[in-house]
Amino acid sequence: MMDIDALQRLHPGLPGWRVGELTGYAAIALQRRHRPGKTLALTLGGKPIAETLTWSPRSGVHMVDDDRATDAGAEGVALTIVGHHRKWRIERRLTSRRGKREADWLLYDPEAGKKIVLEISGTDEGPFEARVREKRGQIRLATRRGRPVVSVVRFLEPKAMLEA
Amino acid sequence: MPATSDDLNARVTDAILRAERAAPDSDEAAFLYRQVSELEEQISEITTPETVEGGVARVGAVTAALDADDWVRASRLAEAYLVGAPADLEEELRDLLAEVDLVARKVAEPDVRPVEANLEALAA
Repeated sequence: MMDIDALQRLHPGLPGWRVGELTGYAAIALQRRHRPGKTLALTLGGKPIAETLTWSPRSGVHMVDDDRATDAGAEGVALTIVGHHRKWRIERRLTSRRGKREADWLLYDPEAGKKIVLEISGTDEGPFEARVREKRGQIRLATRRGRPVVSVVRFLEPKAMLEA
Repeated sequence: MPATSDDLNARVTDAILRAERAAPDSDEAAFLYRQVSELEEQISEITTPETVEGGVARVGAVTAALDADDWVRASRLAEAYLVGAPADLEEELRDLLAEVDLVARKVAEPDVRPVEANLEALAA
């Protein structure tokens, strides 16, 4: 079972105010169609896993901008996946130039002693594979920073992938 | 006591996330990106350019200065970081310097074009 609200424990390096936003948006993006206990169709390094997703229900779902809930919610879900399944920890946010960047986060893999650069993308019901292909191309440019990893989350089913 | 790498990483993460929330090209964004650039500069001072952290911080210090519209600072930092930079970092810094030059040229030569006007017609 993967608890969205465990994000702060999984990533102590994430500011508390941002944890509140990411978990809140993730819960709201999920609540548009699902209830806690929903199965997430997760693909980890090519291996399919049925993961049970849980979260504390949030109020005010209809007052939140849909796109913001999808983008920030995907970030909340993806960071929960890397913390829960891979034990990678956030080291820091990466800078962008005028909103453009090769990757979002620099993480640390304590088992391998390696740096990971993670690019996250989310969609509510848009094409999943096309987004994965796009993000693979984008992250390839970031290899000099560490091992490039992509995560894409779609809230419709819900489904998600994480791969190097 | 000097700041640790963990402390600075936490502070720069917080600063970047706040800067990303500000309206693009606003005074607030410029102020926040200036803070990001200063924190990245501090990280650069305690890391070497060959490390991932060191490369990220040096590029971050320059890009954040550009996002703060402080191209003088961006240029100064990029030139300083070129000294002893490994090839991949040097390439990134040179790309950023090219961007600084472009911005500087636009400031020095504003895009002003003559406008044709018939004063007699306007007066009539």
